[in-house]
Amino acid sequence: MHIDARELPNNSLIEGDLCIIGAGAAGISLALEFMNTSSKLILLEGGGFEYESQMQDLYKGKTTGQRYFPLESARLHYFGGTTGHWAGFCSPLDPIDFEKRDWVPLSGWPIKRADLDPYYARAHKNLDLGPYEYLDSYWMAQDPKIDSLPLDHSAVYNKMWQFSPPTRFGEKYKETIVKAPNIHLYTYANVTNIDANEHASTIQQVTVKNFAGKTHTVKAKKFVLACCSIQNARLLLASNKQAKQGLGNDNDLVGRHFMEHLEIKSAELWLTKPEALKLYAWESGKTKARAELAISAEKQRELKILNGTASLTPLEVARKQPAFIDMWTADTAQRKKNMSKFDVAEKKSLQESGHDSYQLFTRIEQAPNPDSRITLDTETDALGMPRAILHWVLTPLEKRSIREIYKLIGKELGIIDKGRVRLLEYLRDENDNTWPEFTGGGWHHMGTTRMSDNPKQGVVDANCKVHGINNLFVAGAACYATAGAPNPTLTLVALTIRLADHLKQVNA
Amino acid sequence: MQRRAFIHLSTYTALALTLPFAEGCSPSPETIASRPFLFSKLADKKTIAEAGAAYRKQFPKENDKTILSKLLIGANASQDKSVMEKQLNDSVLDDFKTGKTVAAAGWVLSVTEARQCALYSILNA
Repeated sequence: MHIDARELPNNSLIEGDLCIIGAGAAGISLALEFMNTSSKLILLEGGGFEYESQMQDLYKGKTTGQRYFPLESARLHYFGGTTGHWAGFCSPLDPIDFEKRDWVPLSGWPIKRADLDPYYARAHKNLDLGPYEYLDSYWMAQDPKIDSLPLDHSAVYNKMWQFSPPTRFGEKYKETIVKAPNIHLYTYANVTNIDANEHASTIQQVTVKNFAGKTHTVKAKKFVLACCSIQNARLLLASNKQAKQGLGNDNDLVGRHFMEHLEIKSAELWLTKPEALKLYAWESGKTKARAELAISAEKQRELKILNGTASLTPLEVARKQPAFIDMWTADTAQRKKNMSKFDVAEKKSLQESGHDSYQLFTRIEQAPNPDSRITLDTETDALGMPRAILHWVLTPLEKRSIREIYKLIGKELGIIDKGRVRLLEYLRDENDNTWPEFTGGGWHHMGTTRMSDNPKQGVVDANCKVHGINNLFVAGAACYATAGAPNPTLTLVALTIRLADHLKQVNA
Repeated sequence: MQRRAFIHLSTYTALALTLPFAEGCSPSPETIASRPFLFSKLADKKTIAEAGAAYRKQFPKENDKTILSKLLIGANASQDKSVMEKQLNDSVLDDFKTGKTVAAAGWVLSVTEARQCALYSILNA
């Protein structure tokens, strides 16, 4: 059922078994798993069912360090969350992403890729993806016209992405959630504080507020934070009545290790003759799967580099496209205009005859870095919550990794005698650790409550439970210990379904 | 960069005669050695010279026509032109296979073809 929290009498008390804070991909996926169970589930959404500037303003915050998108534009604050404008890119993390890598500080998850595989398959359904199949051979067999670069896969392989339509969770799941008898969806219910017991070991209730001037209290046996990496950290840090440094923050880790996917043009691929290379092509709304060039785990170990991939865009198109960081402005109308131009250019690039030069565009994890973090501002939002400050920091490892990736692709391309790779200017000087102005992220926020079995290295444990608090969990990419190369949505939904199974098991 | 403006070399004279850098008489071994075959299909003369200059700056000990010629031609100087070209091209491929690569002006090149570019940049300075 759906309740508009603005319509409730002031100071209402809402009670349930499980309270989910946030109704984006993670919150809705978790709610769906509990649908038609005996649990009374409270799903709290800060916004309504549509985009509203007033709600987005609550996400405003300063950014320092590496240049970043306006925070209020990077996440959507209404039912369905950021799936309201995502592009649908999905691919699982690689087994190596979960491993401890001695060249990547703080790497290693307390779970393995195999632990997530069954959940990835289930997440595919939520996201309207095809079969849980990520071998290039499978997808190439679907269409004989698909061609690719015959590179040595023990060095550079085709990592597959699948594309969600993209599923807009708000549109797709609204009716299902609203009709579910055991799910109580409250819109305009912004959580502004979490109250714990005296020792901050159990959450007792949360406070919700809205622009109608109403304040309500929600009590539940268990609470799950699912309002994205920045807002999760912000809420934990701001909830400091029982714990001065914020909840779950005994080891000063909440908000730290903020990670983004570094997304940046990096090199050019010059071929001796035009090739369509359809395996790497993407057309919004049409392409079901495509590949990016990826570096094998063996080569990552040998070169001691981060995991990253390269996508191919015809150079004549790519050179006319401004960087995402320049296109993605705070002005919503301008942003839409800029992005539509981008889509038109992408479509023009899909020529059957192919192209003889391509831009190589990197998507790469950043190493977990405690200095890359979310903190609280002294300025507050309209509901009285301190605003978030993002200090995004990159390290020389990211830059070296990108350089090595393209040197390796260049070497492998040389072996097959098809062309050459040229690094962009900013990668040429091996002693230069600065980043060019067009450096940007992928709008992917990860890691502010990272997962670790060790409370001194992570905020949540392998079951996404906050260390030291027996009934508080986190769902979403905030739990990532490392970011891998793929867009985070598929993994965060898989991880959320795994959390649902855990919560059900604990309840049983 | 003007793509393929530098296409000039081939083991086939007929083709070479149609191209801008075709010589009226047999080119010298040094000239042949200064022509990176695949790279010249992609890059114009200026680009090749820039890559060559960058390589020479990176490896100053090789910044010398005689040294580069020796490294590229070695004992093959008296051989047939086509044989020499084939050996150089094979050497380029072997370089890639064995990881003997270098980034020159951003181009990921085999060491052999980077030296070819370097020699070209000296001969055409």
